[in-house]
Amino acid sequence: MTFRQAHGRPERSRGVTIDEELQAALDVDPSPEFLARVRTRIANEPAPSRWTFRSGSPWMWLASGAAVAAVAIVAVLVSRPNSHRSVSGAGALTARVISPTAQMPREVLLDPARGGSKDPPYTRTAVAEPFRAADDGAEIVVDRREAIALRALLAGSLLPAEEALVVTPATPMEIEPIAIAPLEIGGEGVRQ
Amino acid sequence: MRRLALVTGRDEQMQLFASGMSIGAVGTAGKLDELDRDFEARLVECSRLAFRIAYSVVRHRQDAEDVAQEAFAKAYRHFRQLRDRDRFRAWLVRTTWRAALDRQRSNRRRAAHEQAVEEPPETPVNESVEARERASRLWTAIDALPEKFRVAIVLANIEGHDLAEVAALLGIPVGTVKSRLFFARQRLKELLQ
Repeated sequence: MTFRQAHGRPERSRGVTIDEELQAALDVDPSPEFLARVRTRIANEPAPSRWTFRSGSPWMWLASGAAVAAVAIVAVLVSRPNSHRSVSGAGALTARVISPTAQMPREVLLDPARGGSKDPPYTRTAVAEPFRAADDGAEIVVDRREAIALRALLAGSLLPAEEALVVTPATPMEIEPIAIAPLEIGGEGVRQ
Repeated sequence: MRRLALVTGRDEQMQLFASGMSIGAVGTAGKLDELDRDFEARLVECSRLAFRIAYSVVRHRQDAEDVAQEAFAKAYRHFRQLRDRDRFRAWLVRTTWRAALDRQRSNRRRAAHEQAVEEPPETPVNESVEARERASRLWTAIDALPEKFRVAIVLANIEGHDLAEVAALLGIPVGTVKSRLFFARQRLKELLQ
């Protein structure tokens, strides 16, 4: 059953049907060299692959299985608990004991005029616990000066606010009395 | 040259091809396997179909040959992976159609970029002015069709394809082909009036 048979009477326009016009327009043949060009092009193409995944090559399946097994082994190794994990290369660093103490500001003065304590200014010394290393003996190595500065900062910030204030006693100011000389008015006509 | 360089140079090879010697015939001198012979048979069978499909879109002989050649090269690259060799024809039709549409878009972009007048469709020299005008109107009307109607009516008018063959080439039911052809013809009638 051709197209025209399937559609019965073809519509006619200007004496020929649309299909006849289209068939005439498409009745074009390629040039005689066309097949030769295609063959040349195909000859230049790289040889198509001999196997595909769908072809079920045993080597393909073997490689796939090996890859899956490798991935599984890596996943198991990664997911194991790291109880025996050690820090490699820790011996390369020389452990230093951090200074156990850090001094806070030596004296804190209180102003007796403001009702503060009349006790002599006291000195508060912050004593820092020496850094204890972890159970496994590993130590964290921190520069000594950094440790001292950090501890001093922490000790200062933990003091009560009033104690942290340093108030200097005020000295009474002496004000001289103001002396104003009396006005002297001269006689009339005298130019001042 | 993949295989032929063993037996012949490029010029000789071109002469062999131009003289009509097929891939299979050349392969008898060497090492072409059955796959190549199979492809060669399909190339001979489908070359005109691919060319006409490409021509229906680009309407330029040289461009159509280039498009068809590209489609065959692509088909050859994937020919071994084609499970159902009986569907090669349908696969080639779709590949050629898409490649032709790409070429058409590319040509239009280039023409717009260069601000050049698009080359008119090729017509035989001895064709009358009236026939040329009629053909030009027909192609303009076909270009205005939606793509699914366009490919259906082109395939129905190439190489005497019947409805079942068009349906097989497009991978759609026969009823769908019928309806598409009906609407395509109606639309063409409107446009040509």
